[in-house]
Amino acid sequence: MALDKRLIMDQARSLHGLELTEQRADELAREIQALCEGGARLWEMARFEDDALDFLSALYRMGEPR
Amino acid sequence: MSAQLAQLSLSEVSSGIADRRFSALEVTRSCLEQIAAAQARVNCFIAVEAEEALEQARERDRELAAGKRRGPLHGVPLAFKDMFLRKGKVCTFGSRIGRDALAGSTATLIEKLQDAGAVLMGGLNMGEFAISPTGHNEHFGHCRNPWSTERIPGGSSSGSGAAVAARMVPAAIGSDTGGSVRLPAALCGVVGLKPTYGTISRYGAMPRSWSLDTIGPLARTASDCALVMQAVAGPDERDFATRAQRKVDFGRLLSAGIDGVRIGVPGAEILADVEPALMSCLRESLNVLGGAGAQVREVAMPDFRTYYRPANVINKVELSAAHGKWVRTRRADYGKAALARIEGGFHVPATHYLDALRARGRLLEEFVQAVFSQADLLWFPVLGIATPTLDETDYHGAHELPGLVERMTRYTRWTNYLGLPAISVPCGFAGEGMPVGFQLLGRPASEDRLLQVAHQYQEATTWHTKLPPSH
Repeated sequence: MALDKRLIMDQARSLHGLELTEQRADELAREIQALCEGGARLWEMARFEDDALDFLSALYRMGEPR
Repeated sequence: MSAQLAQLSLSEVSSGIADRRFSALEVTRSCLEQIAAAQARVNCFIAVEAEEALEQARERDRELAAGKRRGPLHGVPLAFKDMFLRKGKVCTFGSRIGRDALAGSTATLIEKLQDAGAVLMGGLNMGEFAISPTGHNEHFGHCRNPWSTERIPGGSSSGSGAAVAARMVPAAIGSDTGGSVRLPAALCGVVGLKPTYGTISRYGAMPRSWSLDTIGPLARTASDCALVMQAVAGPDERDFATRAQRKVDFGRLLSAGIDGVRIGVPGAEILADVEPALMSCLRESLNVLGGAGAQVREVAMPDFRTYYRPANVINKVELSAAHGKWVRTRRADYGKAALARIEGGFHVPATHYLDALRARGRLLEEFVQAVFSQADLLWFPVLGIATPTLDETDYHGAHELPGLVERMTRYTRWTNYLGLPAISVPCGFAGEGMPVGFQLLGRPASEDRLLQVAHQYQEATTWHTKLPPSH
């Protein structure tokens, strides 16, 4: 199911103070839909126990041994 | 002799100044002459600071005469993407908006370059707010590729790649959020290093997407990049990301051979989208590496395309958040393409953004364990398409941008999501004589290994010595 361009237009106006044409809202709806739901789904990639703050420590742990 | 000095590599300039074969002033003058000769053709600089550069060079020469040498960058002319603050000076960010204010502080990177004795030549052209992967700029004019001025230099560090290729400066600084150092390096035929996330402080650098942003050098050789890295890397309490870094001696392995170094190559399925003319250059680079003693072998790896989407979610949302105020108050001052790129992030659900961030540490761990248990480094393309013309990639409507950006950054953006270091190395010419580059990736903090293998590759090839036409 595609994102509703009206929703994008309303959100842009009410939350971000931006006016979008219907055509641009339609383009953005498709873009966001593809970004969030196409291919690998982000909500399927993340696990319950994942911690956004763990990236830096993972970067350190995985570093080239010295 | 003056005209020849601008042709020298950073290492050659450095040793020549140290040995008093020529002065910092002579080299700086030579670079300024080259800038004057080529700027109209390639439009690399936003602002050339000739008088300041000459004064810095004189000061470096005075110091040297008094027995003070700050290090390998002493007296070496360098330039930087125009996105690093310098107190009391304008920093444009490649934008109309940035032209209005004087900076109130100085970026750590600039301080380190100054401390190292570099002669700063001025701010380089870039994609507006580091948003464009092509080098287009609606405000300062498009930067052009020195190898063919009809074609893009790659972005967003467009001026950094083009200026080094055009021999305006021996090295330059760029930033890389999704490929912005590696793309111009590959398209302009120079070396570009995107370090591990958190290796160089971003304090005072324009934020593009702070979870992905890195700063890196572009130069004609890997050994030159090592010299710049040694001067500018290091922890900084003003950039949280630098807390994760391990200390690296970037030049440590340069002279070591690569016998037995394991270089992993992705399977044919992953490379299927690379155009055949580029692929033959890329394949030849593997033969050279194998000939130098590396063990080149195919490795099984997670599908890199998996990481593109979360990288792009983070990229879009943080971009929109950074620009939220100006988009509301100065909308008309944005270029069309930049504005179109910014708009999307306002509508991505917060949960998707957080999912992309919180999966990141685990996915990094899985990737490193899967790939770097089989190989020391991973070989990869930088770009899968022949260098487009400026016209082909000009703005023809917002609806075309996601596809263009995906084609340009398919092989680079995912590494920013994982935070891994990557280096782009020139490996030949294809499609009307345009440079081609390959990437080497390593585990976090493996820049010394990347630079070693890139250096040994350059010892066995001459691609980096070729001059652009009409040079």
